[in-house]
Amino acid sequence: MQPANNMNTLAQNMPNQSMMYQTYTPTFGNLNFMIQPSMSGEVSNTFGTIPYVSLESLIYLQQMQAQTAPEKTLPGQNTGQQNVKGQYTVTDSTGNVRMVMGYSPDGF
Amino acid sequence: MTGFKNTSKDKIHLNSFIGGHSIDYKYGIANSFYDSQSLDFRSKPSQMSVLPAARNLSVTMSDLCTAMVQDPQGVRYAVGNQGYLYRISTAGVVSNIGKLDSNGAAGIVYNQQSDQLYIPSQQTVSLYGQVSGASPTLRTANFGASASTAAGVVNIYNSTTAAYDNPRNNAVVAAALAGGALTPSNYSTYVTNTLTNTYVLPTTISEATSQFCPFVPDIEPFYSIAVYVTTKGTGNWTLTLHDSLNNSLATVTVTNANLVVGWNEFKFTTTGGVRALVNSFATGTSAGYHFHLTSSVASDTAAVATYAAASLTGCNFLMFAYRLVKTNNGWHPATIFGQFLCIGNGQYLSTYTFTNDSNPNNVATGSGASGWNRHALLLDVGYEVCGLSVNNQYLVIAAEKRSSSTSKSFQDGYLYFWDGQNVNYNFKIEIPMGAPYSVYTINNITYFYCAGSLFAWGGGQQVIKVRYIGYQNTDYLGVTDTTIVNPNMMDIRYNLLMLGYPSTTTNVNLNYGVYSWGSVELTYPNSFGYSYTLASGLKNYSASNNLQFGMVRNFVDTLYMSWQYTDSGGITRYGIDIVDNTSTPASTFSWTSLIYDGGVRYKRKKGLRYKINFLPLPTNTTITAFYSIDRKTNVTADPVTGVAFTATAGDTSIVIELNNARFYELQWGFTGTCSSATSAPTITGITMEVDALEDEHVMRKDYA
Repeated sequence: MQPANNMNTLAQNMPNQSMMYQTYTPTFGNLNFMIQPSMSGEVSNTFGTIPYVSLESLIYLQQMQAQTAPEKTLPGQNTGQQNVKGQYTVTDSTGNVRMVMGYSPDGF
Repeated sequence: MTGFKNTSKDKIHLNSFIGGHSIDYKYGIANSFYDSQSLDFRSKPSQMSVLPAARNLSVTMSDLCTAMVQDPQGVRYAVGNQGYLYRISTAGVVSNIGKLDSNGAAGIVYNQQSDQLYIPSQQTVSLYGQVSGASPTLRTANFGASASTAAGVVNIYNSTTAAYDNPRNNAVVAAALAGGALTPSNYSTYVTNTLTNTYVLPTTISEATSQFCPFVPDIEPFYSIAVYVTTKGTGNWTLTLHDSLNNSLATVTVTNANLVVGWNEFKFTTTGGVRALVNSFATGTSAGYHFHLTSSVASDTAAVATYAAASLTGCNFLMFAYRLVKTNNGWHPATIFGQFLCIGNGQYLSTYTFTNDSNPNNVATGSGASGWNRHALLLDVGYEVCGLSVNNQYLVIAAEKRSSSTSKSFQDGYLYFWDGQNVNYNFKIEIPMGAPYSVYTINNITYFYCAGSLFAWGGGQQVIKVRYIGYQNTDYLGVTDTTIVNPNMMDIRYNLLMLGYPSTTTNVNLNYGVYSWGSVELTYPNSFGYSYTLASGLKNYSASNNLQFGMVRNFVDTLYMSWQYTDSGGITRYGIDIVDNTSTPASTFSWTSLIYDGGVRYKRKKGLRYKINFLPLPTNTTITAFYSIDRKTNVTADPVTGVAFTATAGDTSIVIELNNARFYELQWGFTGTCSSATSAPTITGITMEVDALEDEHVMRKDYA
């Protein structure tokens, strides 16, 4: 008897495709986790298996989720030359434009 | 007509072992198994072969090696935990080439430009080089104590400017003249006294304003204080160091006979020096620290040079500090990060920009200047650096809290991340699970051990627990878990992460050795295995063997493992093992399946036959099959005839007929031996045939 071809067994057979079922977060763990097989009385001819979770895929997801809060953006000073096509727009906390510098086709 | 014996039955067959070790007895990812030793199950995922054995490279070392590097000529250098320095020639000959001034600190760095080794000991850093030259020299404690030239130390508080800007001496200029820093051995040559007023020493301490000399240190721990004596009088002199609350931190007495007119150094005897807060707040004369000078003789004429008459405030003095903090963990991990030599310095990170190996200048925290900065980064108070690693953006600084108690450990840790530019670390991640040991980066993922598990950080907000290495849980053992993993216990071998574990423990259940983590290609999962054991065969700690594992270091095909243990005669042995391209297959190896219960633990099944397939067994090798019913003792021989389930040279399989083997849980595996074998056994398939006994569905109490 072969186990059913569900998400867990697919993940076993395609370990690096397990991201298609990826609902793992370091906070909540593996939401898909289910020990296979869950038996109803029939004798399985395999060992009990659990889905593989790729460390690299988790780290990829972490990096995708990583954000820097605006208040964490550090002020700084640069020296040298910087070439910009377009314009810099500086807004205040309410979104009002306080300064525009550079070139805009409809404006400056 | 097919007979009963040939009736098709279910077979649990493994023709791939790529899943590696499972955590659980029964559940694992596909193609996993419960346990193995010295088996390569990754190189060819459809088979397993035996890994090379470790052999002794040296068994006569003087201490436990904890760090190793290689120079461009292929010569390798290692430092031990008691401070011995070793050279491993390209021919593999190990020689003792010197000893540091104190215990080694698990750090050794080679700079190809200076051709020198930089080797921290407990409170200094030594040099060995030039290693490519004809006669390399060990300069012990080359980087030792030096004097503070911070304004709060060498200047007097100026009430007009509200700043420490009245020089008490010419220390700043003198340091430049000295080539970089003032040291206890050179300061008297360069630092002069131009103060004409004096302060006569009393016999008792007074906290009146003029009766002490305040200062605001920028470096610590304090090594000594030198004062300029104008009249030595007749009494013995005592220097008493106070903090701002007038707590006595240290006292030093110099007998009158040992005093001279001129510079006199009062060296603190406190082990490790006097710890102090650096860059502490100070207003006027309410500085972080101050010292008193007293004489043992009443009405003594003893006097020191000072800025204002009868006031010790302007005393002409220098304060020397140790190069490194003496840590509870005994470590100062070191690495090169960009332009810096970075050294873990207790709760600080020290940096050195290789500006002057003879005598680098002291650099103030946050100044960004070149030189030696003892306190380039200030970590959380009470933490000590226990590992350094470099990824593509940051120096990763692992820090722990280390208790001096043998039974009451902390459970605290941090990872700090620094880009090499910021005056502070960029960010940190708390590791409340325990000390983050032996940080190491592969493929830009930073791994570390914590509480017996392998963790990884790859750029997110959290660290990820990868899996456990060994359960450090000591429930029911009656012992305290004091397991420690040294800073250099991970390395890479053939693209796999090698995990030496543990370094020291009192947990007799932990298996010493080198574990492995990784995969051979992206198609296959990362997997875990127990790959290399020590040549001595010792795998577990005991009170009598005191087994310890110093470091793991790999250079392409050569893996080094350092160790110490106490032999049956009570003598402590130190040595280093090697695995290289001349190694023979491991003398013992083993494999154990998951426990099989068919998903129906309550129901009896029946084992029929067990077959192991392998390539023709090489000469001088054996494989012995075993099985275990319901977690009982392994059966390794026919219960009736006593014939062992052993295959020998030339065999390609072994088949066991299980005798009425009714079971609820069944586990199977094999052990093997290689004795002077020149090639390794290769296992190609493992199959257990079972009868589901489908007509027996009675729920009843387990049979005995």
